[in-house]
Amino acid sequence: MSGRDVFVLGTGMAPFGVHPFGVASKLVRTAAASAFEECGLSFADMDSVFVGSCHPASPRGIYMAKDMGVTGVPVQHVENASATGLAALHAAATAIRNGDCETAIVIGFDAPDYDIPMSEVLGRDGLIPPVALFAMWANRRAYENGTEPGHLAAVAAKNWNYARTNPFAARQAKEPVSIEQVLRSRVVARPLHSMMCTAWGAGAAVAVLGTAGALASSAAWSRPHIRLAASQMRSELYTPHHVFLGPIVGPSEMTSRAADAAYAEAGVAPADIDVVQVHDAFAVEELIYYELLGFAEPGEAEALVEKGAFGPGSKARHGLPEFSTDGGLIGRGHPGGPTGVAQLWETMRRLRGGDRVGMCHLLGAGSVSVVQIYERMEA
Amino acid sequence: MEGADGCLGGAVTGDVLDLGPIGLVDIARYAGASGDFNPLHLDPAYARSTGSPGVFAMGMLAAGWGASTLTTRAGEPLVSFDARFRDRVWPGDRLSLAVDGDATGWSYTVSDQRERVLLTGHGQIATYGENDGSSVGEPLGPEYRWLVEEGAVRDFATAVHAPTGAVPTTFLVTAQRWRPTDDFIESLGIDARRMLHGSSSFDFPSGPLLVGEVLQVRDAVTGREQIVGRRGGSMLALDVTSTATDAAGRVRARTTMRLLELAAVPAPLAPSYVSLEPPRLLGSRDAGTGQIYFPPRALSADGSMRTCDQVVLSYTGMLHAWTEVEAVAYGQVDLPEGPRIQTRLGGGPHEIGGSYALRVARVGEHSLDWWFDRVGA
Repeated sequence: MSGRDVFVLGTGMAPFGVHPFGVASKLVRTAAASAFEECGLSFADMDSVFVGSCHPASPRGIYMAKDMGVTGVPVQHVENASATGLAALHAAATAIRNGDCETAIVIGFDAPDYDIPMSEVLGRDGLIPPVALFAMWANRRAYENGTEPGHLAAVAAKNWNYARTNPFAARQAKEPVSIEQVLRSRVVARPLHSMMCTAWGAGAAVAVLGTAGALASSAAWSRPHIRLAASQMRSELYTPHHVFLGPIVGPSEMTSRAADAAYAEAGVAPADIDVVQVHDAFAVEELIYYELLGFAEPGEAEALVEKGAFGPGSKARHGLPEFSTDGGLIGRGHPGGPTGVAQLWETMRRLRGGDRVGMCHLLGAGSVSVVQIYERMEA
Repeated sequence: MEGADGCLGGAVTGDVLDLGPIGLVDIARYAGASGDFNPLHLDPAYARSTGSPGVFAMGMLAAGWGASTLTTRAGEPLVSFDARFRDRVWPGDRLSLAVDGDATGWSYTVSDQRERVLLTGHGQIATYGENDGSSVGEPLGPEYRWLVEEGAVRDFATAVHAPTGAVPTTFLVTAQRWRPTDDFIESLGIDARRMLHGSSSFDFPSGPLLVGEVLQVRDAVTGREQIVGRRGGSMLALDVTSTATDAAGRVRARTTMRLLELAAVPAPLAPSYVSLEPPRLLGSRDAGTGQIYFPPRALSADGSMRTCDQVVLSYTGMLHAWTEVEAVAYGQVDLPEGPRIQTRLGGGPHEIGGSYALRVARVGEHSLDWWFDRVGA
């Protein structure tokens, strides 16, 4: 990506979790109000709208936009399964870079109007339940690397505990969650226990993006400036043993291809990254992404987890970024449409709180991988 | 909450009677007493596999409690009783019965603690009807003997909270334990996994059943129609009537149950990539790269738009990874020519690196099921 710089002017969230049917518009308005409040702008200041949702029973995005204003600007729908939120940010950023618009609102939401089981949404052409694929990743990794259920539980417990710091997280544990507690939860697909799997849910998250000019004329000018340093998307590349029927997601290496391209675009290295949000729908994924995103050598992730890396204080103690600091898909929840935008909300929270460089990563079934890097500009 | 004592008559009209909570032990006791061992009510994994969040109570258990309460309050056996099932009864639900009516006949509603209506129906005492002796419809299987045994009556009465000393109103359901076929639902030609119990009615044209009676039961299909359900879907409604007659040919008890078969999700056609004879998977090969794909691709994977040739794939391979979800095993099997097949697995134990072979079986008329089994372990 080249062209004009893209800045994040504001982000906002509505709670993730269980909501009654028919509340999409309300959730979107709540999230948009916070995002606009952060930058002192309103829907009338938006040149373009990108709406990301992927649940088939969510209302169409155009209605979300119209509920906030009937202002005649372009409204584009973006859908890319679990990666929808980051894909919508990617599309909006591309439009700003290219000079199509000065400001864009990215609305990520999923809140169904009626009931369709998630298994039906995800499993239609799957042949196997989604959880089975990731359980097989875990079992294969255990076969090759000696991964133990405790390693997966450690990742999950970390994310549950991070979720306790996020008022919008779907899962709010009253007490700190222990590894033993995760291992006592129900086995969904060996070795994955229910507490190692995402909570799905509904919710909304909104981001306002703009050019340097838009930033300068907004209230965000007086706060740390957060720039989109890289946004890269990849899809599957044919590999030996490629699974075409019912794979959910293809070879995990597309994550490393997207990440390598993002590092190159941003001109940073893994050592520069302070905080990372990933597609931890199942705990084994996060373990694998430590390696694929360049923070660990292949096969090294388990040993690092044992040392407490990737959790609170990881940067100071291990020189490694913290992962899934808002609870991740496991703790914060994972409605497909808003998840990527919620990752940006968390990245903003962290970058304004002291971190300098943040990374967001998602997979979308089918499958695609998106990696973005955001940085706080030195004043 | 309890209504006035004694006769049900006008005195209890409008009363709400507490029937108590229903639990797993009640379900188990009723299964044993009635012979209804439908796994929907007993096996959580099976119940979930049909889309239910878990096991739920037999409608006839709640109906039995309702009939018993009416009988107790009336102080005499019911001449007729019916129940229409409105919603599922979950373990832990606390049931209550609301009654309305006059001296000899009532309509009733059973609800849970959240006022969710579970079943509705009618009960009646007094005049016994004419003995019409006949049950029309297509006979279903041979006639069979049914005994009104004292022990069975006592067990059943305990399960449905019936007053002692009389045969419970719904006791005729125990005839299913005497039925010579154990694939009764199958013999009706309906799919048990899509079946709902819509309603049941009972009547006693020649007075209440007595302990010790030896009766002959014949089953018949007395109604069959396509109806439109509450949510708009079409379903098949089947009325099955079981009639118990004594040696003199008098009808002693009769029950008609309405079974509903929800419309089938259209059965998928056999996938084009699997063959039954011999059991094989089909793939395709790109001559340009030599890559072999499953399922068959029309075009090469490299984007150069070369047309692929169809090939028959090896039917054995090596297990790359596996797991188990709700007692079903799934795996990835690597075929020697390349494709990794994501598949259901047969019985275990399973082992990464083990040899697995393709199995194909016919499902219904038009479809095929396929999976891989461990071989040479």
